[in-house]
Amino acid sequence: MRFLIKYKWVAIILALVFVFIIDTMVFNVSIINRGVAIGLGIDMDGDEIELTAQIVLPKNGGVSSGGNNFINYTAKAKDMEKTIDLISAQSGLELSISHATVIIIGKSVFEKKRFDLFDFFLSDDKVNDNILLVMAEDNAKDILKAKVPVGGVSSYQLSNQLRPEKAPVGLITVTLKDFAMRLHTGNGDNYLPIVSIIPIDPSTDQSKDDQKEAHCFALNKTAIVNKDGYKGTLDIQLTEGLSIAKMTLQDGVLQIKGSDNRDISIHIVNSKASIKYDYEKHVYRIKMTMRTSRSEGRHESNNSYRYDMDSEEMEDFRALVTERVQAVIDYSIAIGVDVFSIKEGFYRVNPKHKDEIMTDKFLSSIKLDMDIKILQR
Amino acid sequence: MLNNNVVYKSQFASMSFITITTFKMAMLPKYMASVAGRDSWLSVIVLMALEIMMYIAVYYVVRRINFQEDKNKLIIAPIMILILLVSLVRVSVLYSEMINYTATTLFDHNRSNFIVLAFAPVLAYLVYKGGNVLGRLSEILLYVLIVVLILQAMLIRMDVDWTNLLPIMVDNGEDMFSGIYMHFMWFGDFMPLLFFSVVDNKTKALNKLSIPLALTIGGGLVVLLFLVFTAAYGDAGVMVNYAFNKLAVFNKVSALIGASNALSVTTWLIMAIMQLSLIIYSATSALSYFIKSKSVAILLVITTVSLVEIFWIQKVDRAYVFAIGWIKWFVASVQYIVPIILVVYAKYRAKNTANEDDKELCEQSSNINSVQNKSTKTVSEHTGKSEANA
Repeated sequence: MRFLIKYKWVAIILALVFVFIIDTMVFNVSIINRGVAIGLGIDMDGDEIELTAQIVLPKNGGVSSGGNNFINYTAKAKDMEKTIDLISAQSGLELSISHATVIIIGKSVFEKKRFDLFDFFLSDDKVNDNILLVMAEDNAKDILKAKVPVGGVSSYQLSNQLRPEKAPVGLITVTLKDFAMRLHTGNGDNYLPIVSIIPIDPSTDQSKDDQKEAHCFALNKTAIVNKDGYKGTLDIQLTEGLSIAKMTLQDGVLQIKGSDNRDISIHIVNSKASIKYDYEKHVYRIKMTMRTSRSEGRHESNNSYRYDMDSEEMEDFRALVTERVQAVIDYSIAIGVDVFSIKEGFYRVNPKHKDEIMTDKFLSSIKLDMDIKILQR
Repeated sequence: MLNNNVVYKSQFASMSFITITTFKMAMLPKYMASVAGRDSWLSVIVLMALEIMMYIAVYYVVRRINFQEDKNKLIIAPIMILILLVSLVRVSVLYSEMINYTATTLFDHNRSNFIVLAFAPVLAYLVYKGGNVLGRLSEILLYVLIVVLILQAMLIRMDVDWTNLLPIMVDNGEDMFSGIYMHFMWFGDFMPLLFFSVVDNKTKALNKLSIPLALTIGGGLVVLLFLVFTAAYGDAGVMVNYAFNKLAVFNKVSALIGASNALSVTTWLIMAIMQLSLIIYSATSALSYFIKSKSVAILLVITTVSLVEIFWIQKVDRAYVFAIGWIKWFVASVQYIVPIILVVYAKYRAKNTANEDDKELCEQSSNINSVQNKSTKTVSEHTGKSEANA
C-alpha cells in the first residue's frame, strides 16, 4: 500500500487503465450505439405485446445537435423484456427508454387487463416515473405514426400538448407514478387521457412538399379503467368536470349565459381544488379557489366596458362548475368506478367505518358540496 | 494502530450527516413500504429517535476518550471484535445495495462483479488515507450536496397526495413495529464515528451549530423523504427501487427531455462511497487493535468484503433476506449497546483519572509542604541561632 502511495501517479494511471478494461468487459454500450426512444406505444395482438418505439436517428453531432430524424420500430413478443430485445436487434442499436417522455397505451391493453405492464415500467430503474401516460382511442402505433406539424414528431408533439406551459380546463395529465399509485389502491379505479388523431391540412413548408397528409392530436376525452379493465369514456364536458376537480389549472374557458342574455366566456386564470370528507354528514366537499375574467360586457349604468361577473353571473358560473363535477360522480356511479376515489378518501379519514364505506351503496349516499371562491381579475 | 483520526467538529458533523442520510434514502423506503405500508414514515421517526440517542452516546465517548488507543484490553478487545463483526455484516448488506445501484444507473445490464473490483481499490485507498481525510472529504461533499438539494428544490415538479399517509396505525401499530424491528440493519449508523477524536473548530459558530444542524437537517431530510415517497407513490411504493433516484426525476427539466437526474445519481453514489469507507474504516481500526499493520488490516477487510459480495451475497435480494434474518438482532444489540458500555467506561475512566490526578496533587502538595516545612525549620533554626548570638 505504501508503495502505491509513493508512486501515486503510476497508481492513478494503472487505475484508469483498469477502469477502462472494466468498462469494456461489462459491455457498456456507447452513446453512438444507442437507440434513444422518445416515445413508446403498446398494443396487444392476441396474447402478444406489440411494442412500438419512436427512436431518434442522430445526425452529425449526436442526438443533442437537434434537427434529427425519427423512426418507429415495432416488435411483438409474449413479454416486455423480449420486445425490447427484439427492437434492439432490429435496429442494431441498444434501445434506451430512460429519455422517453410518453407511453401510449392501446385500448387493447386494458381490454386484456395487462396491468402488469405498468408494474414493469415502474420497477424498471431506467424508466422515468414522470413519463406521461395516454390511452390511444384505437391503436397506439397509429398515434406514433401521425404526421404532426412542421419539424415535429408525434411523441414530442403529444408530450407538449399533455404538459403545456399553462394547463387548461379539460386537460388531464397523468404520469406513470400517478397511474400506478391509483392502480395499487383499492379496486384500482383510475383514469387517463384519450388521444385521437384529427386530420389537418399538410404543411405549407416548401421543404415538405411531398407530405400529402398531416395530423394533430385531440386530448379532450378521458378513459376510465380499473382492475377489471376498460370501463368507459368521459366525454368533453365530463372531462372538463374531472379536470376542474382534480387538476391545478392555469387556463381555459367555460361558457355561461350572461345577464345581458348572451353567451359569455369565463376565462379561468387559475384554479386549485382541495377535498374534504365529512363522514357524519356523508358529504364530499370540494373547496375551490378560482381566479377568473369574463369576456367583455357593459355596465348598465354608464354603458362602459366591464370584465368581471356580476353576482347573478357568478351564481350561474358556480352552478355550471358544480353541475360538471356532479355529472362525473353520477357517471362513475353508473359504471361502477369510483373515479374521484371518494370511498378511499372517506376510509382514510374514518378507517373504523371501513365495512360501511367500501359498499357501492355508500357512494350513492354521498352528497357533493362545492365551495367555490371566485376571485375576479 | 490508526492515529490520524482527529477531526474538527464541523467535519464530524459532515460525517454524521452522511451516515444519517445516505442508505436510508435508497432502497430502504421500498423495503419499509413492503413491511410497514403507509406507516413506514412512523417507523422511520421512531428509528431516527433511537439514532439520535445513539449519537448522543457516541459523541459523549469521542469527546472523552480515544478508545482505540486505550490500554485496557479486558474491556476494549471484546468490543473491538464485536465492532469488527457488525461492520463486516453491515458493509456486506449496504455494499450490495451500492453495487446494484451502480449497475442499474450507470451501466446497461444487471449487477456485475467487475463493479466490486472497481470499488475495492477506491474504498481501500480512502480507508488507508485515514480518518481525517474522510472527515475533510465529507465536509467538501456536503457543499456539493447542498447545491444539489437547492437545485432539486427549485426545479421540483411533482403531484403528491398527502392523504396517502392515512390511515395511521390502522392495525394498532403492528405494521409500524414490524417496520422498526425488521430494518435495524439500516440504522445505528454512528458506530464508525467512535473511532474519531473531535477537536473544536476555530470558528465559534461552527462549534455551536454544526452538529445540531447536521442531525436536525439530516434526520429531517430522511423523514421528509419517507413522507414524500409515501404521499407520491402510495401503495405502489413497493415497486420503486431507489427512492432518492426516482424522486429526483420529478423536475421541470425531466418533464421536457426525459430522465435528467445525473446530478442526484452521482451525488448519492459519492455519499455511499463515503459511508462505506467509514464502516470499513471502523472494521480495519477494530482489526488493527489486534494486527499492528494497518495495510494488512485494510487488505484483509477489503478482500473479505469483496469475496463475500462476489461469491455469497451476489444479488441485492439475497442481501435483504440476510439483513432481515436473525442477524439483525445481533447487529442491533451490538450497535445500541456498545456505545452505552463505552459511555459507562468513559465515565469510569474520567473518575479514575480524576482520582489519579487527586492522588498526584496530594503527593505534589505533601512534597511541597515537606519542602516548605524543612525551609521554615531551617529559617527558624537560623533565626534562633542569630537571636542567641545577639
